[in-house]
Amino acid sequence: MNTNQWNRLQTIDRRVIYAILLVVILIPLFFPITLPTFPSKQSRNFYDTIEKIAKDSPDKIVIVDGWWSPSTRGENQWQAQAIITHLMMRHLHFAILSFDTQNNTVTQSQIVEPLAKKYGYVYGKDYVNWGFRPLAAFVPVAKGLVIDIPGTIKKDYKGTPITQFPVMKGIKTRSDVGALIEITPSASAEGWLGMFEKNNSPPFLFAPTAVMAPTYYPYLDTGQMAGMLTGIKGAGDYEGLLGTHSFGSRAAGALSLVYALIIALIVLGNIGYYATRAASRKEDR
Amino acid sequence: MLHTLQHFFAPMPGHGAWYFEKLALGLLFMFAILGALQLAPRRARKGIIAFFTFLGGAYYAAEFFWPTNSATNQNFLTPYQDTVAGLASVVGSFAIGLGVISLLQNHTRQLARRRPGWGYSAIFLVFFLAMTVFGLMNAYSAKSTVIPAVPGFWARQDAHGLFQFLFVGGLTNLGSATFAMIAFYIASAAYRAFRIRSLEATLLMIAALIIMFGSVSFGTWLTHGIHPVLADGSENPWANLRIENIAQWLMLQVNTPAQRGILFGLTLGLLATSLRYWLSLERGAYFEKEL
Amino acid sequence: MQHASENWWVSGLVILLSLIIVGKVLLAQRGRVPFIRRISGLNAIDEAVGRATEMGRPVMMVPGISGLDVVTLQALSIFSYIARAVARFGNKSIIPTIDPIVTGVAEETLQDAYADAGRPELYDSGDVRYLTGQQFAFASGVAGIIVREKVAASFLFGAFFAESLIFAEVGQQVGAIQVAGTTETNQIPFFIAACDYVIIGDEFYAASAYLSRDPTLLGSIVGQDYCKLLLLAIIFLGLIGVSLLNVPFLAHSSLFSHPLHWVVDLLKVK
Repeated sequence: MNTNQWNRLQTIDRRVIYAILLVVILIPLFFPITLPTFPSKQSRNFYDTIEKIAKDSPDKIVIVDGWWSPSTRGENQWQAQAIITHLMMRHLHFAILSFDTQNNTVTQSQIVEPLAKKYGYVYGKDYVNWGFRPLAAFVPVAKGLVIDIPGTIKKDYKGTPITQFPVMKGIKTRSDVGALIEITPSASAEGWLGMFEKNNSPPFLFAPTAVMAPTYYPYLDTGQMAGMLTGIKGAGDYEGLLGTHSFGSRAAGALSLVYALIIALIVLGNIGYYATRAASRKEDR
Repeated sequence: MLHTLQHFFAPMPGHGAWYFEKLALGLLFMFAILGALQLAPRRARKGIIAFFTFLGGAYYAAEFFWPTNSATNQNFLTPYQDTVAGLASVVGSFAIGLGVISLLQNHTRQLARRRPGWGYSAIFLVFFLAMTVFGLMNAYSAKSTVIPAVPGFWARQDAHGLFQFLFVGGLTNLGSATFAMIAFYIASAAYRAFRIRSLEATLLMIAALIIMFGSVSFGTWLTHGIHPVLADGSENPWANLRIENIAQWLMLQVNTPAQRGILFGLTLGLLATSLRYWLSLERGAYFEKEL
Repeated sequence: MQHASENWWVSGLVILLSLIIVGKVLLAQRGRVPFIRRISGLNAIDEAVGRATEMGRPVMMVPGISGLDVVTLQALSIFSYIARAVARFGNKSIIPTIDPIVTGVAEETLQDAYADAGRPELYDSGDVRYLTGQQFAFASGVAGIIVREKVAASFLFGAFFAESLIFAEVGQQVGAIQVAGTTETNQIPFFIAACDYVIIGDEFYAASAYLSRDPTLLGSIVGQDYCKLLLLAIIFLGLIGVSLLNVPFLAHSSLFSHPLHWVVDLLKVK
């Protein structure tokens, strides 16, 4: 091969890359490839924390807070689906809370209601929807939940006073919360860690989109986060641990192939780069 | 239409008595403050603004530092948090109106002058109108027929259906599609960026490859033969060489300290900048402008 | 932590750090102006603006996607210096915004900067464009502007999230010189992959000090550096404490173990 041909390897047109990528993503979504799953340590810790709550303190309520909107449903929806499935499998009581306008409707109607039918969950008895709060209200809500949950939330998403629901019986302060789960595409963890958590109690479980995850490793390291689901890979891990293979597992398969493609592209680019450099040096001599 | 408007401005359950009077008083108060600010001598304006800036920040600082009652975890300022947060929301809502006006102005001008790309402005105006009309109709009379049923052609469409079509079918899906574009951009950016140009670039590339291998099934499958536990039940030291463990090590021992270092700097930067704004110490750019 | 009373040590530390910063600012305002090092990304501003002018294409500045907060204000104050360079070269700038309040402040920033540079006539009311309040609608709007206007220099300063790579990669595709700086550390890798110059971490806050050479801002930067030294000292203290506790002789001696435990407990994450 001459310099020009080598050079072509490091200057592949981006449209070619995009076309190959599209094919590589689509194939496993329609024809699922089953690869063995190896859940990451932080996914496993997430799972184990819920198991521990089910075993040690089944009377407490788990708060599932969502900041995601349908834009990031490719990752967040499947995390939420897997997490809520787990809560229902272990028959834990939970409350949904949203700081995004669209999130509350999507979580309630597209995730919780279909799953509730499957697992026999009854609204008000087994779970409750605390509704949507604007971002400007985050600080008072997060601080308020520590000392007075019914006083802070007051009404559910339809305007019914939450004290009327059996699921809220005995739920007064932070010490009645089993875990705080945050599903988000935003930098929302710091707020909860700063305003709500104390001495890592209740356990804080975090499910960010993949791009957000690397920033939060320091909090895993200090134990301020009990577990973390990283994007769709995390959802796939969780489905693997639960034994419910749904979209997360299929997408994790697609993700594997995409990574393989990116690795191949990087290797090709570097072969091209190295060979071109070597060839041009030879020509210089 | 009149009914919809009446419904729109009707007091909500939580509004209580004197609703419209309070609204009018609020507006009057706002105009009084703006008028006073206009009338104030130029030199005094900076002082007034600095005073209110300080007051706004002082609430949060005092609420944080004032000792709390250990039983309730509150101090005398804590109950007013909702009210203060409400003030911020009010300012924000005024701004939404400003945004809408600015958008409409820009796009009608674009359209009227037939500037390049005026077609996009036309599309914007059509959908802006559609979203506003169907959004309001959806809130106040969701069941009203918008498109009557034509036998054998299309089914009846009510306001709720059309709003859903625009919101879920349009906005939501377009948002997801734009987010998904990142996958394509990551591929082309990674292909271009990870080249062995220098020692640092090579290290960066090797780390990236390990992380990628470590986070997907086929990567972890490569080293799954190294068992974490030895035959005698003890930990296998070689298990550290499993690709996901190397990746985890890179994330926790290399990435985390670097992130922490940057985080310290950023937090201090934020603290310093906030202090400068709060105490009106800031200079430069628009802070020194004559008012 | 919700109130200072939960941990007086940490709260005291916050007060101490604040005092150091404010003290250094006041000293600098009284004439003790310190020196700060070069930030290479910022030296590229003139080069980028100059090249854009030669090519006859506009300069774009995006102040992130958060509302009017400390980070956005900081970004706009950096943009005011860039806008002055744009006005000197007689070029055109475009500032797309996601927040109506930011739009107003950005308009004033641009007008003032042009007036300062003696070219108030360059300002056009369509230069600052409020696009939408939605993150990804904004991303596609900005990508559209980059492609349609063939932006030749793109400055991305502020709080960016998942949309960062969309801006940077589309800018790369049209061949724009790109300088980026963000407080969101997880977006820095994307900017590094696709931009020409990236300002990392607290350099973002140092940028306006570096550009303006204003004593207040320079004093603040030095105050921050003293705070960093203090934090490093505390980390070092913790390191020594934990290490010494693992020495059996010291851990079991009543003379040393109590104060060591006290120090280590004090520094533990709560």
